[in-house]
Amino acid sequence: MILKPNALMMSGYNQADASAQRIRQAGIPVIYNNEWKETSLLGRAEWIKFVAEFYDKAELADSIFLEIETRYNEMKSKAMHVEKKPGIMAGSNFRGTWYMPAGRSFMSELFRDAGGDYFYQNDAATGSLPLNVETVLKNFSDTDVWLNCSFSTIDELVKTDSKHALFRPVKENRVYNFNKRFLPSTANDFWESAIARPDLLLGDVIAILHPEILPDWELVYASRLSP
Amino acid sequence: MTVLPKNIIPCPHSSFRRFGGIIFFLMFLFLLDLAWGSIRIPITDVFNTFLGKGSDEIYSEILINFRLPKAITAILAGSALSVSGLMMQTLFRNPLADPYVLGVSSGASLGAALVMMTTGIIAGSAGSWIVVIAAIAGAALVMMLVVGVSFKVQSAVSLLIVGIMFGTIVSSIVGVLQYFSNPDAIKLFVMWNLGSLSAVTWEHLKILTPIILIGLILTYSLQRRLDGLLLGENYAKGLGISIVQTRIFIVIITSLLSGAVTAFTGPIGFVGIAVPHIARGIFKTASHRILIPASILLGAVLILICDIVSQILAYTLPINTISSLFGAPVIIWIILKRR
Repeated sequence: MILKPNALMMSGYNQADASAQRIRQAGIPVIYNNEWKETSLLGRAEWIKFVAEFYDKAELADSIFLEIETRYNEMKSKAMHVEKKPGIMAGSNFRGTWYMPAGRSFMSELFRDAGGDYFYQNDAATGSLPLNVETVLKNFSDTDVWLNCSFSTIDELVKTDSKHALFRPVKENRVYNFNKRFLPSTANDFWESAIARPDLLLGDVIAILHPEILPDWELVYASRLSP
Repeated sequence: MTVLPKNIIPCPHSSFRRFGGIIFFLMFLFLLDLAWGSIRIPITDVFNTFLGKGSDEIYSEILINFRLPKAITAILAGSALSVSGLMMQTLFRNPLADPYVLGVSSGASLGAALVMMTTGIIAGSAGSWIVVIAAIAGAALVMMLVVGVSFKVQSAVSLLIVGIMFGTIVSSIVGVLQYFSNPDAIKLFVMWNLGSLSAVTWEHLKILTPIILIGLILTYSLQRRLDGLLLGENYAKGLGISIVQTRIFIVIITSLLSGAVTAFTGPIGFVGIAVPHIARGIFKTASHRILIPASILLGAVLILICDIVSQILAYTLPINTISSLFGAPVIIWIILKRR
């Protein structure tokens, strides 16, 4: 309240939030941003139009989003028509539980739009699936690419759990994280700007799965794990 | 030779039969825990792998590096926690005492919370050891405070209250840490707090196994003193048992057992309260010479059952919730029986 902003924008998790009420009582309007409830990547990015309204930049937002949307759909149509769709796995083992994206999660949508084959793509849940390590070993040991692995080197990955070495992507060195834009303070831009730029995210994944479609693409958020 | 009242001396023959039955049941559950899991491994492959003739790399890896250490951890954790619970119930003469009542497990949680939520070090092989060491340090700290207080305090009830208060203070600090942490760190800490037998690898077992075995042997060596405590403090003094010394031994050994288990697996609830009562119910005795081995075996049995149940689905259920689902009905039964 000391900052005396014109308005406060927050996520609408709890509309009856007490601290929001107090802010309102101090004469500062509270704006609820519900972009997190969107069910598609482009839908989330489209909220730029919402924020733009408060700055009278609706036209600019429209044109920016149109660019993003067009680029996204272009890449998506190229990728979805490939014949061979590489198998994808994600996450890693933490104390016996392996969280994999559910069928209707953003990650799963990303994999599908990038022309990948994801085992759980027909699952109806959003969010993550808390799988047993055994199930993951059975269904994914022979897959092609490992994305969204939170480690930085293969060495670290295998030292944390020897079972990680059993997956074919590790043997063939096709493991990627989304930590290219990562600060030592553990802040990761993947969680920040990638929400507004699904086209860059899609480009990254397509460049990994089907390099022939985007031969000159430079990875923005994804980086390969070094041995 | 001290004379103890009749209902403490058990009848040997039926005890042997019961012990035999429980040991067989334990071995059966151990094999079942190895053979059953989220994916079906044919029994022939299970035998082949353990006889050294395993052909499928994935099956071998799952059996030897996942299910086997998990089953061993289940036995160690089950026995350690049950025996700690038994000692706590004897020391405080309270049927609802559990191994965590002195705040040792909260100390372990604090250590783990500090590492996970302030530094963000969780990934990497070094990471898991840092969490374990921090948890042990936290447990040891609370243990030393409690031991220090045991010297000063007259009655067991006072010690119990002080122990619970230490636990509360430590839990509040953990709450503050959670309040200020980012969501990813909180999620990981919550997962740690739900307990996990599969978090313990062969490397971890190299440290955990000797600690637990030493703790169990030391517990058995206390059995005469524990029997003495049951008679009441004056009788015990008459038998030449030093109350303060016994209390301190019990606190140290319980902290060692429950602190070590919690540091590696995270908290596992209710086993400590329920199993001593099940042991007393089966063997119909209060003699610790019988109850200590009985609790060890029955604790292992109970945790193995919980583990088998939690691994049956493709999704892993956290061990802490399953053990509570088993333990809570037992507590209700105890309360109803006491009327």
